[in-house]
Amino acid sequence: MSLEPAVVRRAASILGVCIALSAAALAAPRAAFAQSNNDAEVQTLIDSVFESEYADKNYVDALEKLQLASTVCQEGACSSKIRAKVLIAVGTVLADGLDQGKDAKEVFKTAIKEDPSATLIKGHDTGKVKEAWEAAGGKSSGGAAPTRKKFPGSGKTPSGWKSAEAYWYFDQAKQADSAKNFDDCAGYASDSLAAEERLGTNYLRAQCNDKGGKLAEALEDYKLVADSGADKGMKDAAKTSAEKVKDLDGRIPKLTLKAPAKTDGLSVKIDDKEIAIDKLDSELRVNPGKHKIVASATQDGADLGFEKDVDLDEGASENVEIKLTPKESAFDESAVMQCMRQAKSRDDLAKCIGDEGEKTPINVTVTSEMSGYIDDDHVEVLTPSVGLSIEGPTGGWRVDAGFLLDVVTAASTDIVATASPRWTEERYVPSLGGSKKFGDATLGLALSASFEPDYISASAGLNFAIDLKQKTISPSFGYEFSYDLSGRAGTKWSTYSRPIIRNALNAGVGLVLDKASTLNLGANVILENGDSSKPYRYIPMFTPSDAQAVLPGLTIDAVNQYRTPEKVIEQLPTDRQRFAVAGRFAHRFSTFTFRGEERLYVDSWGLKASTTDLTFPIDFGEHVRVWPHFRGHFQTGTDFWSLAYAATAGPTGITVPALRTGDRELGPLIGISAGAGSRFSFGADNNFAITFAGDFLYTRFLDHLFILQRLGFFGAVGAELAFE
Amino acid sequence: MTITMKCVQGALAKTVSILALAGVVIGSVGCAQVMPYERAKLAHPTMTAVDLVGPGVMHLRALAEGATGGSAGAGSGCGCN
Repeated sequence: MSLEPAVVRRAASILGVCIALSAAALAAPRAAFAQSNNDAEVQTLIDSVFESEYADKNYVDALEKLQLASTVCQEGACSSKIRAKVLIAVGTVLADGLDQGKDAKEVFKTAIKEDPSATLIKGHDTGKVKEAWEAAGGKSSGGAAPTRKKFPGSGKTPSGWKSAEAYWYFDQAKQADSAKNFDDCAGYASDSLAAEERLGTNYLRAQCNDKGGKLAEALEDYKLVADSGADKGMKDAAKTSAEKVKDLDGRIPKLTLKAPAKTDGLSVKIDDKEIAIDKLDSELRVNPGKHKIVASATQDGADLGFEKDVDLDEGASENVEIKLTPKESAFDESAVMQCMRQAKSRDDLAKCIGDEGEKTPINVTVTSEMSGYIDDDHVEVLTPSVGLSIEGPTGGWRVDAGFLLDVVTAASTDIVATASPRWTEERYVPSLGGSKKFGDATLGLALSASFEPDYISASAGLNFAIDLKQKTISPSFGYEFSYDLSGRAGTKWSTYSRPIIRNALNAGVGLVLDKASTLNLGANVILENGDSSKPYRYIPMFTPSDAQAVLPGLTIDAVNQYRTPEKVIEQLPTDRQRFAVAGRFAHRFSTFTFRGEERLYVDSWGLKASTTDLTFPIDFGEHVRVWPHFRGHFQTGTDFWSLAYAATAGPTGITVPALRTGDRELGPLIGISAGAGSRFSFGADNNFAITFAGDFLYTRFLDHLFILQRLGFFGAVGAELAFE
Repeated sequence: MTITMKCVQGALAKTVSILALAGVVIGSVGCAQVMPYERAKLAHPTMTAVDLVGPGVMHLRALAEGATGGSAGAGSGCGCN
């Protein structure tokens, strides 16, 4: 089997993100975590999105992965540049992939806030993306396109000039000045000065800047001309410049930026223009009008920022203290990003991008299992079952259907003891269930039935669950109603049947204890009303003295030798209240999971039980899982359980105990089972799997007739196929 | 044996006490802040809240053990050999 390089890269990138963040989260408290930097991992993740999901036009998948990236970048775990890149990636998918230009524009705006120098992703800056980007105020990928012309490479060099290029630019500046295009005029003048320094060019640039309102820039050139003009034969220009300097000096606002406390990598910009650090704390001459001051630095690894808008009138003087504070991320300002951040499912994600996204998929899972049980008490059970699950992950709904058949063949000692022949019975169990999510709440419905020759059961249950505190606490409540009919095989239901009504209340809560541990607590109460006594289960009776002498495990022959001749049928109480509480703890290690469950049970018949279940699923690579399993069950007998019931003869006849049973599972016993299971999955997404499971079951009967112990084996083979 | 209301009330009181205790436990430990990207382990299939076993095992347990309930749905568990 070989893996596509892209798949490997995708897996590696996601793994890298998870590992980096898990390590950061484990190693550092929240505050420190906010300073961790995951830029490299997130950049890899973004790259992988455009290499695979976006290239394959799986836009919702692309957004899902970018959602992960955005989550990763929360809490300041990425630099503002990389946060902007995530946003631009999201905007690109929205604009080009999903035709959501409006949302893309909003996301792009946030990206520009994060990083004003951000540009679109090369190779993906298509028309729709550019349109949304420019509507958001973004610069084109290559930066602002120069409007000025470039020196053609040759031209005349007039007398007094050393550089043809300088002259050519000077000429262009004069033409721009004539055309009242003062910015270009100043620009060409600068180009000319770069090729050849000439005071006349400085004077031209000063005039252009002066006319264009860039007084601070003009002042510098006027000062130069005023100081040196007379010496260079430019007396008139020098005189005019001196007057201008005097005039502008009073009009140009003075701005003093107070430097912040010691930081690393301090950068200060006024209107996107970098200010030299040594010019802080001194007067800067800036033009009248509005200006944006932006500063950034780092301190102990944390991003700090400062932003202030000032509006300066002519002649104004202002001091601005640069107070750097932890940088507020604009990451979540976008409604789309907020929506994506809060999305917990593809359904939620689809809502973030409107209805024009991909068609919602439906996941189908088909399962089948063939299990068998055999024991040394001559009981054999064969149980084939099939299941179908259809899930609309974006719609939050799920429907499950199942069918199970039990074929039981029994000639156990208690059956033989009543002179009953070996029998075979079939049981059919259809089931149907479904659930629907409403935000954080899930409402579920389950219906099931069971048909045996002497027992029919129908039940319906409702379940409500809700996710609280970011899915770390999930309480659930359920109610189930069952209506059963207990009959007699071979006898019409209308002739003989007894109803048994069962009401069950369930409450539970799932808790996320940490990044790798969960605890599920559950409790339920089952209230049963009805007579579940078996009409053909005869209970051997003994004289009081013989009953005292009977020992556990007494053989059929011995029982028949000592029992009284009366045939007494089983009689159980006609109602029962069962109470159970259970806790399941699960912890995931790197390659294996520990699952431990304990259940405590008590009922109104006096039966008390403790059940412990331990499972250790171990992963061997991506496709193989093996799980050793252990289960221990200990129970007392019911209050009316007796190894040997005594029948007493009186003047009115024989008196037997009002309650009596021969049901082994109502007596005291210990059950131990141990075994293992394995699962082999196939396909790129492990969408096909085969499972094998086997358990040896040992039961020690502590106070029973006919039998002291039983050894059984349970085996199952299952198959699972999932497809979209 | 006679089933009295006192018996039922006593058992219900026990259940309520256990649930109250569980509530205290939940309040003290159930507030772990786990971010969505930290849930890789929690999302592993073996961490599911439901039972991992198939329908055959569940049915067998219902037959072989006198107790039921707790975490799974209601089942039988008596009257069968």
